[in-house]
Amino acid sequence: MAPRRPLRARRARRGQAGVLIALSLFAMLLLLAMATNIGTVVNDKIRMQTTADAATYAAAYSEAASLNELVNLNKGIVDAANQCRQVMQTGMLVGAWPETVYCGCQPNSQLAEAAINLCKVNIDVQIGRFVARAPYTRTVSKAINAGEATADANFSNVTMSFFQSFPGSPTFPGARNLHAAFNMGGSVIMPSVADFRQVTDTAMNYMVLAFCPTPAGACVPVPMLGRTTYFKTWFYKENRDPDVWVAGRASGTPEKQFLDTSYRSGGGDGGYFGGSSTRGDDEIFAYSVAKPYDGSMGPSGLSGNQKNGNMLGPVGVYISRGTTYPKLSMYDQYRARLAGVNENLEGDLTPRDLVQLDGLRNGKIWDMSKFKH
Amino acid sequence: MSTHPARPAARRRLGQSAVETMLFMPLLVLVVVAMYYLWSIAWASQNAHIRAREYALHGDTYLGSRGNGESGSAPFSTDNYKRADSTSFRFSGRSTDRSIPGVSASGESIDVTVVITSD
Repeated sequence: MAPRRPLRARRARRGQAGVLIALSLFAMLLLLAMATNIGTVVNDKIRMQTTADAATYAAAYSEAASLNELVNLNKGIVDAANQCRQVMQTGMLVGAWPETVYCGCQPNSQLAEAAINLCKVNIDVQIGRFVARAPYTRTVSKAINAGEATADANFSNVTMSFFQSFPGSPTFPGARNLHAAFNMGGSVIMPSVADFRQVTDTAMNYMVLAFCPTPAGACVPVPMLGRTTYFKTWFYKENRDPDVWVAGRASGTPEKQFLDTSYRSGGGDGGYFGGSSTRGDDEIFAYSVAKPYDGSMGPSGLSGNQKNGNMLGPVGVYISRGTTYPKLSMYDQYRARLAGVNENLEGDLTPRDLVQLDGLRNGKIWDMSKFKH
Repeated sequence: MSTHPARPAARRRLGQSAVETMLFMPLLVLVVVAMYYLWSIAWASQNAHIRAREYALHGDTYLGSRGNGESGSAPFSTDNYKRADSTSFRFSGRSTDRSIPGVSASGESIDVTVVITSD
């Protein structure tokens, strides 16, 4: 015979299931909260990365568009120089420039010198247009504005940085500079989107139709080569492409309240998963890199006569008559593409350096092996 | 000695767990359904975000025939990025996600738009 349980024991078991149910429900609700929290974090991370990519791409696209405009302005300089050369070399309509003093037998032509001065003014006008378009404020700043506008359009409560305050970053004012000089005088060095150097010794000469006296007292025409004038003309980018790029970082705490905790920006509360939100532990960071590519400001990596404008090509600037040099390669085909943090881009700092430094500035040590691209 | 007097109490206890289970099950189902629903929304949202982003950057070229309600414009043509024509630009990718059962069953969708703009 089974002994009957004491009345006290039976009473103690009453409500036991209720407690279990309550505990189980609490655990399930906790799981539900955690699942929601994870979903929120993953979603925010995806949105943050999307924002970083879109904003950085927008900045690179803007820089690419600026570079295309600069390529065309550069072609304007080349065209002006080429036009000048054609005028000087053909000697206008007669095949040679008239000498200044008849029968002086000297290769001097006042008319040719006047034409050369006009050439200088025409070329300077084109150089001025390039210089006016190239400054940092009209290229890099414009690109950063585009990036920030894109970030705002995609995600509120996000801080976007393009590392403008990092010396060594391509977006740092003065990291890249334009070196320009004018034929009529004056020169300038100013921050720009790329390192632009200028060809300063594009030489031009002309033929003078001089008249030389004969022993018989007559003057006979003798074509002579006039003096050579050196012009400041078009710009080229010392480094080809890899030095122009943009790195961006989107960061922030998108959600102000989570299921497991309420967020206080001052810290001292719980953060994601109950961690401390002090020192910005709640912040999500996303990095991206993008760059203009596929265009060309002109040949680079050249030297000597090549770099100094001794070239014959579609745009037609050359000095040594009868000698053919490589074509000028000015292509206004700049586009933009996303690059990787680990891509081999040039500068005082690589994108990888920037990301590491940025982490340290924010009190974080990134595990760089997790940056796969 | 007879055990008869204990039977009514035993019978009362026999139905107790069934009643408790009956009471507990709807709550359990509710929690499970809620988790599934939340999972569906999170999945659809993440899916839509990624697809919208890819459309904004790569357009139809990237998505190809896998399109799932994407629209917009992208700086990408058939096989390459387009030339940067102007410093004033706007591209966008919009994705409408109805692919997740938990979402589509309730007739809802998740719309996400990613924008690349100069201003």
